Amino acid sequence: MSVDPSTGVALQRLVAELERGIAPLDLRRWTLCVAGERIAVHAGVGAVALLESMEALRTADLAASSLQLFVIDGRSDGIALPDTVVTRRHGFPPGGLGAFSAEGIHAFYQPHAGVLSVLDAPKRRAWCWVRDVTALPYYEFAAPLRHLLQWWIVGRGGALVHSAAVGTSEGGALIVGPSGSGKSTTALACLEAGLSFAGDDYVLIAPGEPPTVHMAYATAKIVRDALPRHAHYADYFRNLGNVDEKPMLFMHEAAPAALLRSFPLRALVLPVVARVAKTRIVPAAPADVLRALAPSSVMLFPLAGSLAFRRIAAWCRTLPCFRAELGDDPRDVGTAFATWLSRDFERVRP
Amino acid sequence: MARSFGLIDPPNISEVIDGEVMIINLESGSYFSVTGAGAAIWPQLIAGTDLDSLATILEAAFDVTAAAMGHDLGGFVDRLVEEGILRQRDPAGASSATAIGPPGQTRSYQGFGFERFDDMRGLLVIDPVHEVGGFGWPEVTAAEKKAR
Repeated sequence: MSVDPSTGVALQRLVAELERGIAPLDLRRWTLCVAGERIAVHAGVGAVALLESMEALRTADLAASSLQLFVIDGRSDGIALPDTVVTRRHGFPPGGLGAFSAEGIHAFYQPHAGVLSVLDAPKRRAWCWVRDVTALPYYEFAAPLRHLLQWWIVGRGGALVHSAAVGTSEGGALIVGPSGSGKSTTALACLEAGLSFAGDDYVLIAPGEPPTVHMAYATAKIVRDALPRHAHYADYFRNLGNVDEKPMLFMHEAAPAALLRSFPLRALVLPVVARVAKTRIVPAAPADVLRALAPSSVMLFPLAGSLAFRRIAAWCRTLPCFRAELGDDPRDVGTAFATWLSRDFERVRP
Repeated sequence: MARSFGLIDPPNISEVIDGEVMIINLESGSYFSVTGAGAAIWPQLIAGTDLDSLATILEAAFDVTAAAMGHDLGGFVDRLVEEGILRQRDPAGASSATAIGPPGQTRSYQGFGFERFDDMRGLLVIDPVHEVGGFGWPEVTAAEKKAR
């Protein structure tokens, strides 16, 4: 893609505006361990709530940080969307937003959610500006900073993928599929069968042989009809009042012992509702798994999609792929995954 | 004159896996699956190898007549052009064709499989993504504000 030289100027100006805006703020500071590296977080008081799903990644380790990340709530921190040529531009694209990159700076604005993400890779600094934390859609709390994390991990040879992940410290699997395909339900069923949980919707994959799954968010979303089955988590349900949205749990609150922050990635599993008595996990065509995993991992991430796609395809080629024909009973689903991972995995490996 | 084609990238990206090509259009939200003879020649097709040469190597690799292969290959490429995946390019500098499969052995011809998937498009409407070369994005319009 050819880059308009003025894009670089506009992005440098956007960064300068953000730096000027945050300079006088009294920001809260803490460190997250993300995919084995340290990210220093500097958040406005109002913006702290946005990062609750990443609380399990908090670390007291003061090793040098790979990234300085500033999270700002426009409303409570009193910072308007930076007024640069970029933000004043009218006319295109008609959908109302764009993603821009020049000189190692990426910027992406989501006007509906009111989230501006900016990464200055050469300077190892990033900013997430939100118009109003209290008005954000629930999925921004479930998986905040997605674009920044994707750009950051793609620059390290990995990818943020749209997948659940369960396993043990010996290894585990991605549970892949588009939204509504049963990733969260399967992941919770696995957790209740004794497997550990690294995420229900987005996880980070770092390169290696095998690659490593890293938790990004301790979020577990629940289908509203299934709430009675998860009544033991009732004290931890969030977002119950918004009937058009999914209730969710932050597992560092609801089941902290079940969290596993990283594990070797051994397999990719595509769940399919099969209406069978017993769940079966059988070999699957890698292309079927790629088709289930890649579109939603790639399309929603401007400026990273092409690299993420290449990496996801490579993992689908090199790791064993399976299809889980799900039974109706979630307990059976969880038991089948746990048994497969602990005993049968090597036998059914393609 | 023989025609050559190339992938329109951006917005399309493609990967070959296990005898199947997956193509994603990052702007429209559509994605595509190519199987059979189309997958067998995909890397050469998007590298600009001309259609006549591709037809020759496909005829050698599959149990199919030249006439049928020429017809099917032309139809396949026309469909990809129609979908905004391929565009005609200057054949100068394009790769020459290399045989697919072991010499002297032919595979059963299953045609050019092509499937389009639009199930992701709704997500892009919720928060559409555009990778563009210029800069700037418009402010939210009054109509959009009202719709919230």
